[in-house]
Amino acid sequence: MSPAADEQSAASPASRARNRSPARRRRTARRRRTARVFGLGALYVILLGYAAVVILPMIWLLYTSLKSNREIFAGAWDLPHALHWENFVYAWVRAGIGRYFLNSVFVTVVSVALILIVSAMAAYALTRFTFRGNRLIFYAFLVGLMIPTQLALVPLFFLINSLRLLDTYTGLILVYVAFSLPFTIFVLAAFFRTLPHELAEAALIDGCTHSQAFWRVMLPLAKPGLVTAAIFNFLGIWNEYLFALVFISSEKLRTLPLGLANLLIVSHYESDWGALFAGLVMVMIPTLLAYSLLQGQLTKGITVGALKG
Amino acid sequence: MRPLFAIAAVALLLAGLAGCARKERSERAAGKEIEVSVFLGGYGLDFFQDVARRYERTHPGVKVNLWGDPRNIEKLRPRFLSGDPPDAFWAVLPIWRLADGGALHALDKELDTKAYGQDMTWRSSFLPSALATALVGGKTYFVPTDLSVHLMWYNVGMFRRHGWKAPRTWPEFTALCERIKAAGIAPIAFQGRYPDYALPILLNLFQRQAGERPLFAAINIERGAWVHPDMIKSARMLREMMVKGYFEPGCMGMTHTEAQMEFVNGRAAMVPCGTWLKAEMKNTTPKDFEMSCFNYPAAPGGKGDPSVAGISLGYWCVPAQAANIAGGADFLKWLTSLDNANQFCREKDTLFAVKGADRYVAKELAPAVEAMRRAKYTWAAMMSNWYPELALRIDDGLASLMTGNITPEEFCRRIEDMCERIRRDPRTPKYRFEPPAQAVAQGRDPIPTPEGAPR
Amino acid sequence: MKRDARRAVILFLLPACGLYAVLFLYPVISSLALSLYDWDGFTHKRQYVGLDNFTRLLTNDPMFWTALKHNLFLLTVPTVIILVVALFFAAALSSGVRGARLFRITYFFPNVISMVAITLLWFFIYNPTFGLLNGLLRPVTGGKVTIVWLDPNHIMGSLVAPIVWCSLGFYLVLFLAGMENIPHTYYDAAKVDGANAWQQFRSITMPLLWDVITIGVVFLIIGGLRIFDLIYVMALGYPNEQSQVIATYLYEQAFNNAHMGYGIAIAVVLFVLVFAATAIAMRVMRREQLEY
Repeated sequence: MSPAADEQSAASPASRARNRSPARRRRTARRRRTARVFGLGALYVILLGYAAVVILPMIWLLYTSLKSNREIFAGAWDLPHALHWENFVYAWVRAGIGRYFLNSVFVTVVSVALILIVSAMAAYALTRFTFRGNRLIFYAFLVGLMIPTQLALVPLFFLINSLRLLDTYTGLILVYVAFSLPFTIFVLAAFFRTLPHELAEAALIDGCTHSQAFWRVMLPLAKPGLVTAAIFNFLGIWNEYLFALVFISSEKLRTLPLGLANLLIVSHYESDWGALFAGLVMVMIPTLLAYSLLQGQLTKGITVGALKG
Repeated sequence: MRPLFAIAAVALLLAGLAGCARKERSERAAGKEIEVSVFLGGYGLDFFQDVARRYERTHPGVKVNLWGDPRNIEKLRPRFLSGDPPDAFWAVLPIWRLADGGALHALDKELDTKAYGQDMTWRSSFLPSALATALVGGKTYFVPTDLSVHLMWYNVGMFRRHGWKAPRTWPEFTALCERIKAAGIAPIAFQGRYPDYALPILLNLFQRQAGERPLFAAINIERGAWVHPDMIKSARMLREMMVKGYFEPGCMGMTHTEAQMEFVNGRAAMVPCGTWLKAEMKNTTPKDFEMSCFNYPAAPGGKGDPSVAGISLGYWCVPAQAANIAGGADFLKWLTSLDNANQFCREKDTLFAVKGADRYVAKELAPAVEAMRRAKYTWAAMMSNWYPELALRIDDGLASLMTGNITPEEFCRRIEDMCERIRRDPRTPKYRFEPPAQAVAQGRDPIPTPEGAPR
Repeated sequence: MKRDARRAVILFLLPACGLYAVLFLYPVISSLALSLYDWDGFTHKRQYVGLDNFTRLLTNDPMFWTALKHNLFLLTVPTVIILVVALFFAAALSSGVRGARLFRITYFFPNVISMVAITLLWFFIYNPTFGLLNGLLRPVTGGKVTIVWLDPNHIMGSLVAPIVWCSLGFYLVLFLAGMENIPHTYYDAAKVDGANAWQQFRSITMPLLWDVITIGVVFLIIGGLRIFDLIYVMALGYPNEQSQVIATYLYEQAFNNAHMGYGIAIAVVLFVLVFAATAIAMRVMRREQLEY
């Protein structure tokens, strides 16, 4: 609600009661309406303005990626004379996008699936049952949210190496799962807390084991939470670079961020700005599209997560 | 059901992919394979792949597994930590720390063997002062390869049109900058986001005025070296160049490619850079653009020889824990052979730290080769390689100096203080660079062509 | 606890706790041990120095305090801006403005993109030669003004815009969700009493949203302390004195300067700072739980 709109009503109720002649009422009503429209207009300007601030750089990025190198330096806002699609072709080839895309899909999907299962089980146990050490374990997970990941990198590398999981998807996926546990358990715990106890108890009375109660009854109810966690984890792992760089060395196992980082660095060295921009566009478009399609679920998820968390 | 599914999936992955054991190591230990890691930068990978293939042809039965990555340092680290590094590598690494920590193999024995295709030892095939920079504790732990001379590049066509000439002395240089400024052109483009491009200007000024001993004292961070009066004077001269508008306005915010684009697009007349400039800008240089370079001018009345040139080098190493040390060293010997060196210079428009590698030098680089030929000796700013924190502090200092945020005295004081911290720090190993005695004694360290070849 | 329940709990907790303990806690604790050594991170040459890394960091390292100063700037200025703007937009969008859903989706776009991509995008926006911003300024000022946005003297200020740009969406959605949970009846009652929009906001929205705002503040503070990608990429991998933050300084020492033990000590100190800041923020913002 715009602050400007209701200036009129700043006066105290008593004084307004005194000024209640019909003519006066019409005038104040008109002034209030004008002020509201004016205020509303100003509000729209601000809202649209910020929307432009968000969208404009992306549009600029898009059409700059279709320019040749010289055009890029010539005029920042000029439209390209010809569409240099070869920037994209070059970036695609350089970044190995076809191959690495599939790799990333595999790693991300498997990781997210595992994360959801493992975290849901843990979050359920921590919120539905009381037992000694419940709080301790929960806080142990929360502390993980505050720890910088670089801290663990070197010993983790030694560990993965000694488990012979270096340069394997198994190793990378397990690492992703372990590092996503704090956040995901936090979110899912919030969700499980909102679910009523009666349903689970009813299932137990009906003869289900705790496992069955969990899988058949409670988990489906926590779908918004699962979707939220899935989306955040998907984004995080899809864009993850450092662990993928350290734990994967074979070219055929590389994920997309590595390919794109390579492209960016090589393009920078070769001063191929067009390919650089094209690479950036290719990083951004899939995530934007995916988000646009799934955004309904995401907001529902944040809603419940924030309020009960 | 789903937990079982998950467990099965993991088991499957484990089974399927854990089989990728490191069988290559045994191949390398047997001498049948050499693994080489290359920093993938401006030189690309194809030249090195070509060298690898030719090695395989001349050494039947041996396979060379050569791979490159712009972030190969991040991939080398785990390899080192797990005790299985490649057999030879080139990386942007603090290799002096590695040498100190015993991670590198000292190549002295291999250096005393015969070089490929020449009638001299591998050691003698290198330029003496280039190889001298690779000494750590009296042993040679890496070999210098690509060499760059730091000079001032200029726009040949523009100079010709205006009748300008490459300056011989510093007063001529400042007069030239004034004339360029009067013509409405920025005299010097500058890569302000990387202030260490100004370091050659500073140190050349310093050497020209103070002479060699103070220069080496500064490189070796001896006490008081960086607050030498001529150093302060040089810092002041650098700042004055900025004040007088010799550097292009807005240069402090430009990356190296941006500043260099200003140069090739004719908006600035000169740019300080290494001999890599031509290769680095080949994609964006207009077709009719002519460039050339000149060594930093002499300081009248200065104690330093005006022929001296500042260089920088790339280094390749062999890890001490490599499976195939002999193979790695041999590959390096092959890489630095005269034929390959010349090929490298021709393809990549650069110079190489091997004697006689000037056969196919591009015409733009000819003044650099000439400068190397005439130079009494060459030097490199080794302290930036040895002490990364010092390098960063010098960068910061140069930026602050040039923008006027600190005075020249303050700049020198800051560097001196950092040097003092390093000198006092028991945990940081110290290094020294001495130009090879024979070169200084002879008064020459050129790129001599092999005996009998026409000059 | 009944046996069946106990079995269920163990079964449910085992995978998570197992993975967490082995792949997360164990390496982190090992790292703590490493912070007591002087180690180059490559070779096996390691020297025990006890707490020397920490004393050196806290008493003899001016760069650390400079970096901390920058972190403090980045956790206050963007935080305030984001909170104010997000609250404003949330209030605006929840008051029945047309197209609220579209606005919300658009504002969230930057949150979806990877941090590296965002940094590079802003790097290009700020580019003095062909960047978007200077491209706008040039025609407007007749080609005379070229601001060097990433000039070391004011690079920290220039970093505020990307931070706000890429974080706002999340907090907007957060606050929107919170606001949607406040019953309309409160607002209706207030309107009858004659309260205007600002008064309604101040006496109804803010108090009832306080918990959510606290969450926002905590996240922003942690983010401001741990920020890395933006600075690292903006500074092209080598932040200098004017652009250094703790996380980049950690990286520089551990990986570039081959002082791994020292870098890990910085990471430990960073963790302590994050923990302390979170505790302080929550204590400061604590209020009585409101029941409604």
